[in-house]
Amino acid sequence: MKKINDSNIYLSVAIAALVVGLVVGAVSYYSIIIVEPKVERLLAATEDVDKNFKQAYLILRNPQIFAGYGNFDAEGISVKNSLAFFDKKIYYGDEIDSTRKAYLELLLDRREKGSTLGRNTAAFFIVLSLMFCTLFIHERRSANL
Amino acid sequence: MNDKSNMSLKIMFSIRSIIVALASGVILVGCAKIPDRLVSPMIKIEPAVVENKEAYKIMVSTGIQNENSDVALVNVKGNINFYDHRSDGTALLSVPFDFLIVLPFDTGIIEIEKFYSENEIMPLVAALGSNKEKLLSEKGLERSFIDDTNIRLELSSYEKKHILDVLKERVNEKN
Repeated sequence: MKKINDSNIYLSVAIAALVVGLVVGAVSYYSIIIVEPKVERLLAATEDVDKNFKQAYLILRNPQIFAGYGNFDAEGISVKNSLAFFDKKIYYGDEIDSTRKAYLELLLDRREKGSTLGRNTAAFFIVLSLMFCTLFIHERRSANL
Repeated sequence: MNDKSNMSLKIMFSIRSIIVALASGVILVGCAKIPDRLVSPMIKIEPAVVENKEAYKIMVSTGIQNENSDVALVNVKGNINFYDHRSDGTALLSVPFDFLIVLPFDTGIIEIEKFYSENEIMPLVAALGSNKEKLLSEKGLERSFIDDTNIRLELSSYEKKHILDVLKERVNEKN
């Protein structure tokens, strides 16, 4: 019976896990480093609140990959209602005043949770990749012995 | 040499699998749920006079729900079709409606008032379990719970637009 060469399997899994980890990590860190601080700055505005809040909402309307707006549990219903509320406000040209800040923060919080989940997932895949790299090296060494 | 080509083939296969998985995700995002049923339909039929002729006023109150999270339905046109569940499936009456837009997670409210002649309306009155005499004596007919077999939504045309494009257009128009 032909022996299966495990080292190739280890290497393939290590590369696949590394690619997934890097992609997910890049998307998550882009949100943590660039998007979320920008939204926080816009929500901290005390002047021209309507314009700044609308701009913040347009950024938040594009969900983080791990915090999509497709499915909601009981806790997420407030997010769903906020989306419907702000979509209408912007579409019909109504003003968004500072009393609505808490609802925008709710959307930001969902995004932050999503990017944290993404960061942790990336770390998991990178660790997985390292494990398979180690196995690959070990397999190669024992084959050479 | 053979080992090396085998390995590169497996790496290529892994990369290809990842690309296929990502592409499938993009395609899934492109799919949108299209409303296929009416929300809490209510119908009221009343006798009326139009240009000195006997007529019947039909008032339909219902809605269509956009269950998508990121797709707005634009320029929606359709009909509310009424059927007799005992007949061959031909619509007894077709009431048209249209919407400029139905935003995500929103319900487009349909409120229609239209006048029809006796010939046009009586098959529907019969399907709803009434008749002309009863309708005239009670000065109207009202049904709040209509079976799905008696009323159906037909969308003839609509456009799907990403909500961000719609909202950005509106913000730019305002500026």
